[in-house]
Amino acid sequence: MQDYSKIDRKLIDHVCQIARLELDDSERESYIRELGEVLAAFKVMDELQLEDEPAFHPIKVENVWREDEARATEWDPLGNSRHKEGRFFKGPKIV
Amino acid sequence: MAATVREYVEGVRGGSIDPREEIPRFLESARELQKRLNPFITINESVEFKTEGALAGLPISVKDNICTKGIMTTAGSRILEGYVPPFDATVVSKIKGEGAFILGKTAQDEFGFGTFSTNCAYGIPKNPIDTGRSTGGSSGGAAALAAAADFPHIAIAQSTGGSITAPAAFTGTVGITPTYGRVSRYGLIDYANSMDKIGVIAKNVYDAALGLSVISGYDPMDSTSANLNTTDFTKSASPDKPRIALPKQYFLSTTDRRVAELVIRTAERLESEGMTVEQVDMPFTRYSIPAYYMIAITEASTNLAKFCGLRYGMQGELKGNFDEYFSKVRSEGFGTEAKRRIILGTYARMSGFREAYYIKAMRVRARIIREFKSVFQNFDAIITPSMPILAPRFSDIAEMSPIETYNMDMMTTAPNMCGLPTISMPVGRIDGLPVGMQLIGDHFAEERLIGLSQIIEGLQ
Repeated sequence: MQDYSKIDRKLIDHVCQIARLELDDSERESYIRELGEVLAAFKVMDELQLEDEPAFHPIKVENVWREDEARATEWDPLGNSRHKEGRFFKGPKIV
Repeated sequence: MAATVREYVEGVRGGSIDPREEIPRFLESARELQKRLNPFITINESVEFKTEGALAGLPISVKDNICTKGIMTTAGSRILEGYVPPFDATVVSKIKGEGAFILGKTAQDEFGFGTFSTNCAYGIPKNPIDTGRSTGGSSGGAAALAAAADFPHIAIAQSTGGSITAPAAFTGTVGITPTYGRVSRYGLIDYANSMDKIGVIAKNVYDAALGLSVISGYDPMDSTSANLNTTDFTKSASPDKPRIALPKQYFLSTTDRRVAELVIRTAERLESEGMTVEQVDMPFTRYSIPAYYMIAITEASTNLAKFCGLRYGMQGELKGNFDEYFSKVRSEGFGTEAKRRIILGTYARMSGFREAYYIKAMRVRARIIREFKSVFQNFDAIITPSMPILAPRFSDIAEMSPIETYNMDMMTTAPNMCGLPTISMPVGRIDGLPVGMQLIGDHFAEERLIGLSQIIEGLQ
């Protein structure tokens, strides 16, 4: 398995591929440096042993259910796109 | 002399003020302010109002990450340029329902990613007190307008980690960040789902409380909306003998000592008025910035995955395959800070790191909530400086590294990530620049906080 614990060009390129971002060389160098600085500062959380602490939401939330029924829409889903054909969005080729 | 919000609304409802005569002047003033301070992304010239309701005929500005039917909504990002929502956010429906009209959409850091409103795709809002200084972020346009408007007005703003408190502090206005769930998020363009809150910025506590009264309440369209009755917050009462905690970690980490001293002097004044004021220890405060940012960037990187340049907002020529098109549009549409947060958040969610970063940060948040709850067993409110510095010059902000900028959120990240309500209010000036004091309350204790802040406002 690839080791991604080191903040370098290979890691940034891999992350950008996942996030669908393209960087130029200058951006890449900046982000390599800044990512390292930010993650180093955040290491302070390692001081805490919190395995018994829950990882929950800030207030109590409950699931909200409703019947799975169709609802009529009164707006045009295609209204904000110039990439459309008939009743469909038109996109770039996938394969 | 311009009418106050209360005088204006009462005048409109009683028939002594005709909005049709007043509104052209409001719009002219808004255009003038735009030239000087750039508080808007869009000024809405299509005015519709009612002469009835709690906000009858009142101009309300709305932060640009809140959807407004028929008015461009970009969240301050180029990637949403041209997006015209086909629906109103619940808060917008509510303010329209009470007779207000949408004056415009206010400038902000892209998606709320900033402390100083300098990460803006449509121009940087300027501080009305000194145009060479920041308004604070990310609701900078809202605060600049609230401070500078010479007409009755309330700003609808939004906070994830301090985006109401920071600009309220730097512009000398009052900002209310409600409890998470108090105000519906339906129609808000997400930054970090578990922390986003819509709130209010205004010239004084009454106006801010009036705005909160209108926009709060249960909404079945937001599954995290709290099932509570609506409340008239303008009638909020303070506890008889308020007990106030001063957490020493917040004061020790205030970069500008003069800011800390002014807030302490304000607390001493409250003590002399018969309130109980005691110092408390909150050692987990030091973990709030990393925990907040880790949760924020992780949730943000997921939320921003939906912007692909096809269905709305920025759209390119359909060239290449889907990944190539998607990557090109996103790379052109997102600004530097948005890309930074997407990269960090995507990294933190990668297999093998999620437990160490995101889940760990969630556990830290739970621990900090317990620390707050423990203080609220003995106190009605916690008081801190709103920001650790005075409004900085743009030239000083340009010299800050990302981590130095993130550290400026040291007063606001903990209450924001814990979903606690806060009020930032001005308590004096240093070198002509306003100093904000932050009041933090327990979940859903807005009435107590507003009542207390009305007393403090009356003492000044």
